[in-house]
Amino acid sequence: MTPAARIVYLLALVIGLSVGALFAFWYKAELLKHYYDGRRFAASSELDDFSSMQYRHADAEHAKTGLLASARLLEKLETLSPETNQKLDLAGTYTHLAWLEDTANNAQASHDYMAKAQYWYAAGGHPGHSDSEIKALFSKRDKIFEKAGIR
Amino acid sequence: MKRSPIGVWFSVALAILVLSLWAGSLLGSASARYWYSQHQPGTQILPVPERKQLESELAELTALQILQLFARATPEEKKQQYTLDEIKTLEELKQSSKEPEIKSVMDLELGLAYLRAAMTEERNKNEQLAKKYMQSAQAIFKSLGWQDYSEEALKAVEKRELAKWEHPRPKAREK
Repeated sequence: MTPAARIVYLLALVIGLSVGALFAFWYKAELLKHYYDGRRFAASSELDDFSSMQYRHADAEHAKTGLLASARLLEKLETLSPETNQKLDLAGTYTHLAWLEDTANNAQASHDYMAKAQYWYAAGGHPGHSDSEIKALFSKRDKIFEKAGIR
Repeated sequence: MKRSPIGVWFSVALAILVLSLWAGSLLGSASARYWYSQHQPGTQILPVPERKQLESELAELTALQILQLFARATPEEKKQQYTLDEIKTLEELKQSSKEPEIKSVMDLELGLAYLRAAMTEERNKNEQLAKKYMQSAQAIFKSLGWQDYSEEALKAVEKRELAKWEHPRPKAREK
């Protein structure tokens, strides 16, 4: 093998490896980004469906467990990458928890959950709303969702 | 016939280029997977055990959503077979899951799957099987703390679930 042939083969190897690796990395990274984004949406949506169903049909204890699980996951996702809709979902979840406590006559627990609901509602771009305003807004939203058959 | 050295060089160089492109693409894909698993946005904030827990929760919840999606998209004639496969998959997922909260979500999906199976068997006039699936569904919903898990209430839930996925169809034009 002549030195010229060696150089040509080496060049082919280097060019092939680097172009193949770069192209595949870029292509796969795009796919993975969509996959991970989709996965977060799918996971929170699945948990939201679960907690809504439990809130609607289960006893208070089970409904509370479902809502708390949903809040925990949403808060974790929110820490990782903040999103406005996620914040509003959290406000909604805490409002539902407050309603459960209202039904059980636990005024303090209800107040604590509403404080969290207020925090997330303000973080979602709607500051300065009272507990009763937030409750009224989510109650209206629930009715709209129910009428539309979304939940 | 004797080949010219340039022709041989070129063929070998081309073969090396193609093979190294292929090897490079494998390397690139693997690096992207590794890079993404280590550098997902924000995951560095979480400690390793918490990150692992979140990963497994996200994976399991996504699997449930995908199963749901397929359950609704499966054509009517293949629906029962799909539902039975779904029940089997959900049972396996539940056994392998380490997250108690996610197990409850799996239970709900399992209950809905048994309910779908029961309603299909009822339509097919297989009373015995329909009853068996309905009893399984009722046991699951009872364990989930549902206040009304009567046959009528559960059928209404399934109808509502079904309606969620159906697109509103334009009304047929009156003649």
